[in-house]
Amino acid sequence: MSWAERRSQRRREDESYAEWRGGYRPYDLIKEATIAFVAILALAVLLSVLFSSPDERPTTIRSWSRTNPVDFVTTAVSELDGTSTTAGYGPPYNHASDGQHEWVIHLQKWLGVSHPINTVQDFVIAPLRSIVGQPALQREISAYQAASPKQQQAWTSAYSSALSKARVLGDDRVSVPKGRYGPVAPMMAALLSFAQAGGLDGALLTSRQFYQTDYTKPLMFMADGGQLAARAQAEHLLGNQWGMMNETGSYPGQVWLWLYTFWYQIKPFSTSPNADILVMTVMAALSLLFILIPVLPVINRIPRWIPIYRLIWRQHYRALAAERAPTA
Amino acid sequence: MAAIFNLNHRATYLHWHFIDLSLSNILVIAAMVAVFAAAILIPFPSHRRTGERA
Amino acid sequence: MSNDISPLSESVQHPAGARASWTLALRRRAVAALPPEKLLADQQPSYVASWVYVFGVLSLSSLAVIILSGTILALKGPAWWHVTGVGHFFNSIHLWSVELFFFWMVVHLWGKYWMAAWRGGRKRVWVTGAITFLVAIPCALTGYVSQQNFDSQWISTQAKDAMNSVGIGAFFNLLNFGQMYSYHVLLLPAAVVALVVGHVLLVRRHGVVPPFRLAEEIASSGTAAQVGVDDGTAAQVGADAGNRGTEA
Repeated sequence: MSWAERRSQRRREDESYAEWRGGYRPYDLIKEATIAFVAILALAVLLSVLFSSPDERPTTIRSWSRTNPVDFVTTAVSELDGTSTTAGYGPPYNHASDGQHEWVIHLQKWLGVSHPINTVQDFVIAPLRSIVGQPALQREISAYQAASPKQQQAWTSAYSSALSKARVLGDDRVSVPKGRYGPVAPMMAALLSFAQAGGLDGALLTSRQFYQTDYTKPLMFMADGGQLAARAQAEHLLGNQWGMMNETGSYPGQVWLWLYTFWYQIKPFSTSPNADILVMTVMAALSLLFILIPVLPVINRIPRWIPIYRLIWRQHYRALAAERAPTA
Repeated sequence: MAAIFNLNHRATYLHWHFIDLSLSNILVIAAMVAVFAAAILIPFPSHRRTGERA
Repeated sequence: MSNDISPLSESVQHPAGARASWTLALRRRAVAALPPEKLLADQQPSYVASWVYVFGVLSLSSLAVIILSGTILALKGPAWWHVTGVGHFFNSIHLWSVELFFFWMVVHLWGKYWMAAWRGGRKRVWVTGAITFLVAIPCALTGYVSQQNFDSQWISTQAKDAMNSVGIGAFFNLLNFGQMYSYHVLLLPAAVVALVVGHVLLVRRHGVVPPFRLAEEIASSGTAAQVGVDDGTAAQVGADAGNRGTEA
C-alpha cells in the first residue's frame, strides 16, 4: 500500500469513529456530577482534617540578621562592592551581565531592565541615609561615596576577607579583626543594627508610593544571602534535590513537575550557566508535542499497538462477540 | 485547627542514583498508577442499572 | 401574529433590514452544534462501561472545590489563613483540592491517551484538555507564591530565574505579590475555566469516542451495520451530525 493510500485509509478510519450509531442506555448526567462533587468535597475536607496544610513562617531580614549576623553582613558587603548575585544578575534588574542565552537567542537581554535594582544604592546607601540622629554615620557614608572606586574596593575586599574570621558578640553584633576598612566597618555595623531592629525590611519595601505589594528588593537581598537557602536545604527544596516537586515538611508536593525538575539533575543542564533557558526550551518543545499528540506519527498509534483499550472496552467487545456467535 | 496527623516534620527521601523523591510524592504517584489500574481492571456494574458513571 | 414564544422557534416577524441577525445566526449555530439533548444528555453509548470514565468528572469536581474554597479565601483576604484556624482550614481544603485536581487530571489524561480519544474529529478535545493542564501549572505556581510564607519566598526567588532566562520575568514578576495574587485569583483561573468549558462542550458535541474496531469486527462485514460503526470501506463516510442511532 502506498503512503497516500495508507493515509487515505487512516483518514477514513478516523472519520468512521465520528458518530456512534449503535446502542445507548439511560444515564443521569446531573446525578453523576452531583455525586462526584459531593465525594470530592468530602475527600478534600477529610484530607484537611487529617493533614491540614503547611505554613512555615517567612524569613525576615530582621530574623536573618539576628540569627546569622555574619552571613547578613557578608551579603551586605557583597551588595556594596557589586559582587552579589543580584549585582551581577543582568536583566531585568541591571546591565551587569547579559544573562542567560541559548545560541543566539538572548531573550533575557532583549526584554531589558524592567525592575531596576542598584544594589549599592538600594540595599546599602539609601537605607543608611534614612537613619536619622547619627551625623557621624552620615559623614562615614559621605566619605565612602567621595572615595575613588579603587579605594572603595580596597576597603570592601579587606572587610570581606576579615569576615571569614568574624565573631558574633553577645548582643548579635559582629566583631572582625582590626584592619583597614575605612568607613565600611561603621556602615556595616549600622546596617546590621538597622536590620536587627526591623528597619531594613520596611526600608527595602518602600518605593515611591504608600501602599506596597512588591517584595522584589527584600526578597532579592535575602536570596543573595544564605538564610533562605539554608532553610530550603533543610526542607529538601534545593534545585539539585528535586526541590521543585517538594513541599515543606512531609506534605506531598507538586508531582506533576517531575519532568521539569528532572532535566536540572542531569548533564548538560546540571552544570550549565544557561540551565534555565535550556530547560525551558526543552519543556516548551515537549509541551507543544504533548498538545499535538493526536497528529504525531507513531505516538498516536501506540494506543492501538499496546491494547490497553481491550481491557477498557472488554464489555463492549464481549457483547459484539456474542452477537456474532451463531445462535443456538 | 490542629491536624490529626502532623506532617510538619522532615520528610523521608528515597535515593536511587540521581533520583531523589520524597516518600509522600512516591505514595501519590503510586496511588495514581494503582487507581488507573484499578479503574481499568475492576468490572463495571451491568448496564441494566440506571445512573451509570461516564 | 404568532403567539409562539418558545425560545427555539424563530420569531415570525423580523424588523425590515434585520435579515443578517447576528443573534439568530449565533443561536442557530449554537443549537445545531449542541441541541439540549446533547448538552444535557440522558443517554450514553453502551460502550461507556468502565470506571476509567469517572476521572473527567472527578477532575471537574475538584476544580469546583478549588474555586469554592478559593472564593472563601479571597473573601477574607490573603492574610486571613495565617491568623485563624478556620482560615487555615479553608486553605487546607484549597491545597488538597489542588492535589486532587492534578491527581484526577493526570489519570484522566492516561485513560484518554490509551483510548486514543482524539479519534473521529475529537482532536480539539485533546488539545483543549492538554492546554488546560499546561495552564493549570502556572495557575498553581501563582498560588504557591501568593501564600505569603517561607514557601512562597523560596519558590518565587527560585522560579524567577526560569522566568528571567526567557525574558518573561520582565513583565511577570514572581516577587511582586500584588501582581501574582491578581493572576492567581482572576486571570489564570478564568483561563482554566474557559478552557475547561470549551473542553466539556466539545465532549458533549462530539460524544465520547467509540472503541477501536477489532479485526474480527471488520472481517465479519455483514455485522458492520449492527455494531453501529461504519467501517469506511463500503458506504459513504462522513460525520452525520443528525443521526443519533437507535436504542440497543
